[in-house]
Amino acid sequence: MSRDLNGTADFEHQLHAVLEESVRCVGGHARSRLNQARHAALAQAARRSRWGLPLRVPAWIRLRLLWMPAAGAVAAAVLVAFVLWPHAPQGYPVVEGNQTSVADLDLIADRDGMEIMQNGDGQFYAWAMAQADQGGQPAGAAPAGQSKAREGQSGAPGTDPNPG
Amino acid sequence: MPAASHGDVDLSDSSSNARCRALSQFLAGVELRAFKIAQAALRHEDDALDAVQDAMLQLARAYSDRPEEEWKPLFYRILENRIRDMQRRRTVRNRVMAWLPFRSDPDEDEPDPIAEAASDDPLPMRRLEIADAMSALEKALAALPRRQQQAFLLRTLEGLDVAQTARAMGCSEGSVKTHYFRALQTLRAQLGELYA
Repeated sequence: MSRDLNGTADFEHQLHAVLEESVRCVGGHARSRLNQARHAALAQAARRSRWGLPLRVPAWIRLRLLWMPAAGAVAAAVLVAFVLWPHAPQGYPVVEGNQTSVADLDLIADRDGMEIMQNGDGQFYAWAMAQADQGGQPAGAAPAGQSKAREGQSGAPGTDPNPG
Repeated sequence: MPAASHGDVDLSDSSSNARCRALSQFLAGVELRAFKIAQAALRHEDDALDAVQDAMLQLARAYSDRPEEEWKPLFYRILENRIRDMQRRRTVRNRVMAWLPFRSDPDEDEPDPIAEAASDDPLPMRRLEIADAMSALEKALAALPRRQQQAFLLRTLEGLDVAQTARAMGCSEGSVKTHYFRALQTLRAQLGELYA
């Protein structure tokens, strides 16, 4: 057993010697590259210490740096969503529905209305005012009590200025 | 400016200069062995040089304020991570390249005439014997599992003790002993006659 251990130890020594020799035989190209790499590493360490910065970044700064890209991405997404979100401009009245605009077009296109205005038909306007006072309902549709009272005021029935 | 002790504090000029000198000595002392370890794992000189350079820069950038006795295990831990990254990248690259119809083998580059020139070494025979022994050892090392190879090289070539090797490999001391013993047994089985 001890002989085997001695043999193993000798074998280890031989391997160590061969490996050390292989280290000594490293070529000039590799040595030059390693020398450059060492100087680059030392320059980096010296530069950081010259600026007075801690050579090791504290954990809270690392954590903050880790979250900064995610926070930036979220902020950019919110900004894009706000810009692209459809919304009405403030300060202008919103037109509700299409019927109102169509009714307005009918009024503008109504040639009879223009003729009435130009001919100065006062009776028509008096009737229209009375219709507006009654809530837009025809006289026959008014409640019974109100209809009787109005008939009493106007005298005889059948004096509708616009029979047609 | 306060003197540097440990942790996240600034370093004064004198202490930072001393620290840089210590770092320079440390890197100069480990660079050749680190290169051989990386070369044994990657089997490519330029890749091994890149791995060692990255490990040096990373140590100087992030761990140079640590106590000096921690540098060696940290350095070899960084180097091992870098070697593993390069091996993974190489595996992916080889898989991608295998699908390409017109691929060139990087080992088929033009030979360097300076490297091919005749040597004026006074002991060519001795060099040849050592070269044969090294070649056989490198082949046997390349055939070892990665963890066994790492444990063997860190213990035998770099001279780390079991605790430092365990820190460098990121495993327990018992695992280091097991990997090292198995590596030694395998190497002895393959090289025993040559090294007898």
